[in-house]
Amino acid sequence: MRRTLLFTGILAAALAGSAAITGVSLAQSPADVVAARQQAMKDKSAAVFRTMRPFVQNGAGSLAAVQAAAETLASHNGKYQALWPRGTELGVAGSKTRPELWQQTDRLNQLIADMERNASAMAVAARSGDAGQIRTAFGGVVGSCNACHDAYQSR
Amino acid sequence: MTPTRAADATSARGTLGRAVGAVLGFAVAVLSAVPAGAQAPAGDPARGEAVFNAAGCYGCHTDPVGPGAPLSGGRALKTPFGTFHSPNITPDGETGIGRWTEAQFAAAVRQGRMPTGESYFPAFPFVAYARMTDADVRDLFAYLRAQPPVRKANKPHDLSPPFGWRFLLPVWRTLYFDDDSLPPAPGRPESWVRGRYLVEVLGHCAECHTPRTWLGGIDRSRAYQGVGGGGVHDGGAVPGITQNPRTGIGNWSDDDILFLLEYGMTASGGTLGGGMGEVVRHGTAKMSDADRRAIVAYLRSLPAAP
Ligand code: HEC
Ligand code: HEC
Repeated sequence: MRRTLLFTGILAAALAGSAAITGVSLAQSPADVVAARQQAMKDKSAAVFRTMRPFVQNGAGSLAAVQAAAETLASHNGKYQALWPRGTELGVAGSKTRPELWQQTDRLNQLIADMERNASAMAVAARSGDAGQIRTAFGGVVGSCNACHDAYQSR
Repeated sequence: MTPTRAADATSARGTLGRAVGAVLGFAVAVLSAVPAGAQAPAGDPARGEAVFNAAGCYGCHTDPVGPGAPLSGGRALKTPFGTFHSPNITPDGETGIGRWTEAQFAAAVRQGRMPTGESYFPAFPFVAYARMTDADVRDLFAYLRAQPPVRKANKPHDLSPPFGWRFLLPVWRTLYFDDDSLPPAPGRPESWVRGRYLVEVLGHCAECHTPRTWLGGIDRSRAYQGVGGGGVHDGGAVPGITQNPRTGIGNWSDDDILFLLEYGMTASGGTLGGGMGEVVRHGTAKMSDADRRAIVAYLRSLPAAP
């Protein structure tokens, strides 16, 4: 345990400035990280595309379900950085992340900041219950999903 | 401004307004009467912006690598015939289309004719734009005129013979170009008619979604059936969008299609590549909901591919 922490600390210090790294995930195997990442994406995708989308498009489902989905989405804020440690790119354990992600720290940080801001706005809108606000916030969320997938997901 | 609109505006303002308007109008006419091609165009730039978006002019005429200034051209368009480099269409007088008249612009967009009379390559989708209405062409020209001029020289195309031989284009045109108006559609609702115009003319959807003949002409007998790789736009495959449930969108709900056209993702969260992302971002996402519904109404009527 102490060795792992020490190792993590050295690596983290060596890579300081590269935001896509945290000590926590380095303690896991790349396969574990990829699996955890894909599960996180599935949860968010269900919240956005299965729950929010039909509500926004034609009022299907319930506001309560949309509020819960918005909280699920916002609960991922602060966790994005840790999901992409080095060594988990395309070709590793079913990863679909293109290697550019690790070469574009500023762009990645911006995309994550946008996603987190949009997720928070969605939670606020859902709590308000106002259909117009929800629709606007939903557009921001989908825009963020799209921007990041477009930039870094291999197709 | 068109004469009718000017008349409406002045009558609202009364006689004094009319007098002042006439004087100002005269002054403007005198001041701007310098080069023949550079008069203020008669169209409505705000309406023109909607035409511009629906017609996807931005994407082809803006270099995403760099990135280049909007509409200043230089985007590389890879096709099986070689690589085209789109020209500068900003109002710069030297390197753009700042000296063009509206008639020259209309001939380029609808007839694929250069001011010199030569033909453009059909990588410029004038085959689709041929049926653009007079009002839309005029408004589009006014919108382009109102954009900032950018000085940037055009890059030559890099085409493989014989496809790079512009003098062969008249032969191509006799095979694949016609500018007959869209046939009347008695009994079709207005939204279908609008959808047909958006899909067939402004949106030039067939340019990507319909297979081509070996000479690069759109094969109308296989309309919207999709292209299995080697497609004209950057070589990727393009899915069919007929009502066939397997090769097309026959089992997509209206909501699924509307979602894609508004948000640029599939209803289950898949991203769109191969140029479709741009079609949505600069085009269908900016349309009114009524226009997106019109597109759906028209797509629904495309017979299922065999
Ligand atoms: C699919 C890509 C594509 C789209 C969409 C497109 N263009 Fe072009 N355009 C081209 C190419 C390529 C050329 C050059 C053709 C040639 O050299 O023969 C061109 C040429 C032109 C020219 C002639 C410029 C010159 O200097 O001779 C004008 C004007 C023009 N386009 C305007 C437009 C407008 C307006 C739109 C939207 C209604 C539009 N284009 C949409 C690719 C495109
Ligand atoms: C520049 C080329 C291009 C143009 C122009 C274009 N499309 Fe597409 N379209 C594509 C490609 C490529 C895909 C596949 C995207 C993907 O799955 O990554 C696609 C996908 C689609 C789909 C989803 C089909 C499916 O099975 O996944 C629909 C619907 C669609 N386009 C409709 C349209 C309509 C309507 C227009 C005209 C307004 C249009 N497209 C214009 C290239 C184009």
